[in-house]
Amino acid sequence: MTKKYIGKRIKRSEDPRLLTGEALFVDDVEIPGMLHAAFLRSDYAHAYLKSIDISAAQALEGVVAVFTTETMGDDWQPGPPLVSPPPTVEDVIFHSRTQVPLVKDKVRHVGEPIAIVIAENRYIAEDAVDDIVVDLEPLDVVVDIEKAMQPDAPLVHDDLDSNLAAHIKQEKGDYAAIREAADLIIKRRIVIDRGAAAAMENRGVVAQWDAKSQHLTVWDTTQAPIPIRNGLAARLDLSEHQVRVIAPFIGGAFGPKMMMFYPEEMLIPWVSIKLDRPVKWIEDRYENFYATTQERGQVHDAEMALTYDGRILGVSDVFLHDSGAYDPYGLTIPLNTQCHMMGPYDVANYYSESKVVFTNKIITTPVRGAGRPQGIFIVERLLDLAARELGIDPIEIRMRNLIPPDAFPYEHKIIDQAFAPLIFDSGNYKPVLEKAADMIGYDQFVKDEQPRLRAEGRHVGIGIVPFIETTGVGPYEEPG
Amino acid sequence: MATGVGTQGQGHFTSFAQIVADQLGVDVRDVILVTGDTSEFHWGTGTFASRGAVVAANAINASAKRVREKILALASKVLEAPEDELELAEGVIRVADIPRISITLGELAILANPLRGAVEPGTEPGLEATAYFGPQYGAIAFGTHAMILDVDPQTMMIEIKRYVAVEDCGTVINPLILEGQIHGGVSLGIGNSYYEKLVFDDNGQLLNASLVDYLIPTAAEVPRIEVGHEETRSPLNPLGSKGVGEAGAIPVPALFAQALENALPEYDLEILEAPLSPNRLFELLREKEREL
Repeated sequence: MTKKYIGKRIKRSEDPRLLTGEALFVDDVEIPGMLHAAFLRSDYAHAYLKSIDISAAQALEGVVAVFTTETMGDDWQPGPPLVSPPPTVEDVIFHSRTQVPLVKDKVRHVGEPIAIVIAENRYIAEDAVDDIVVDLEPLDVVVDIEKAMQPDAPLVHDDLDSNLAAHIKQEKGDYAAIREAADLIIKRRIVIDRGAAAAMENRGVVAQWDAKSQHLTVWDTTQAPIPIRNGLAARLDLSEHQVRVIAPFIGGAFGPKMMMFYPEEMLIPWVSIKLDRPVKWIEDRYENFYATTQERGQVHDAEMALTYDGRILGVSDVFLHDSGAYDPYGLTIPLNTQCHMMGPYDVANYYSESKVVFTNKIITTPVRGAGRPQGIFIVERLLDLAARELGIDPIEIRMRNLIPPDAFPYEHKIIDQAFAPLIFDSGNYKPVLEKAADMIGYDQFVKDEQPRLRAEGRHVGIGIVPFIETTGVGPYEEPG
Repeated sequence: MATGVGTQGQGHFTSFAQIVADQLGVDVRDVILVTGDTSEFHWGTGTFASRGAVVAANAINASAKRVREKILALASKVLEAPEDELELAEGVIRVADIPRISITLGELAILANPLRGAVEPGTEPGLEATAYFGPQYGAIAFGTHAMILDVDPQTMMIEIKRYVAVEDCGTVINPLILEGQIHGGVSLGIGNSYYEKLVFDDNGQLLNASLVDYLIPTAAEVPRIEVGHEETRSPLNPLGSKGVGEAGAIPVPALFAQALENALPEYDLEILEAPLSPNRLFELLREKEREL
């Protein structure tokens, strides 16, 4: 085998098509007879659904159908849980509550869909949405994750005792014991807040049911066409061979398009079969903020125990993780955070406890980084503060703690998001840290440039942060 | 080549084709990747968790390798030469020292799927193979980012003067695409650090549900990113690769906190939150001024 191409800087072969408008995106799909969908979404974050009157909407010229939970009948069912809790960790608490195609009894976040209108075009569909009369009885809202865990907090899911969605503890060594031997404990409360993925292309679904060939084709802005095909077939009582899911060119995803069985994804194919017409729904930017998942909300009470010369003896952390109104993605993000809170360092003692919390906000699912940035933020902040207190240079303190190159494979004795043991397969951390310091001219900046610029009144700062990233998890792929 | 690992801009059409091209001795532009269509393949999960370059790439490598074996086996019969005397290059299989004894891959493929004659028992028609790859556990990529920034304590606006990202993701398939991943990740990381924050009020209303108020970094906010490489192969897969899709985003908030504290030493700041913003930095500085 020749090594002619691997490792080479080859220009992307797909770019000419992308740059000349010859690539298919979901919104490019135009099928004769295609209808357009618009959603009535809740303006309240938490409310009982008392009644809906769709008659005026149905009467509008150009409207073909209006569906609510009631009119869906037995076809209404919540989405499937996507990730089970880890089977090998003890004492895991996990309450699975998944998103629904349309609100049934209670709204749990602003933007949750209450009804869907199908019309000749999107303009008419949106006008009809405004004609739907909905009676919502507002309830007290829970937004802040710490407040959500207080005993008198409003419950997002009435059948549970609290807003605790899940609870998992993982440990390595004995942090409580090593703490006693520490020369320094750095203990802080650290808050990380939500961000959106905000891909350039919003989401969209086009579904085409062909009654004569008994075949469903779905174009979907998804990162996972195969699981979507499998799940849709199951939900719609079709065999997998009757369903074809196409994820054409997609304008960025960053994680939320890996969330599966969004309300819209569950509904549009169902509507197409019900009406025997092709149906299209394209999300607008405003909807994207309310209907597409987000990530990063956590509150940590973290501590690091060190020796006087900056060696990390252990890390301990208890954190709340914001799940939003449902938790289809299981413990994926908190597990990632747990796996990154030791960074690239040789840490023998670790305790991590995560409580996943329901709130009246759109669901959180992995967004590029997926819990890892939070873990690295915690460990690097604690280390920086320790360096300051101990009077050790920030690069030096890191050098003293990096896992040495001869220690691989390095076992962390906890499990990761794929339920596999966290084993660092290989690594050589010192060269990347040294190279970065060298490339940015760290020493020279601190010694010469920074004092000079400061004397001129400028506020310039330098930072350097090493990190690890868990990658390449299974289960498998099978190309042909 | 069909795979269940779809693409949302990562360049899979190119990087995966490079692997096939090397295995089959063809021009990379002659490898067509089909992705994102369930009628082309039936098994797989998808593109997520920085796994494309590990799971899909290795599965593609394995299936391409099997096709290569089939090519050599059939060509050996057709050209009546032992397999170890054959070479596969530029879409042609030829006998190494007698180049006129050759056959193109296209011609060989037709012979592999005949309309008449018998396919030998124990063999399969065609020059096709399916292989799967499931890693034992995840490979750990790593790196270091460094940054110099300038902050104006009057306006709270920042300017990143220099940004360095050194990464080690094992074997690199396409350095151009790799840098694209790093650039994209860092851009998102910058948003996560200083600009992008979803503001919910106590009623669960999102106050900045618009790109006017939800600040995504533009070209003006994203600096030139200098990328450095190291390569520590992973022992977990034949290619030695690790994922790199998210690495750009991971250390950025921690980096911002450190650099901002370093830029404003007179305030003796402890930054214990992310994302920050000009507004929030203003509040933090005012709080400190009241203390001091």
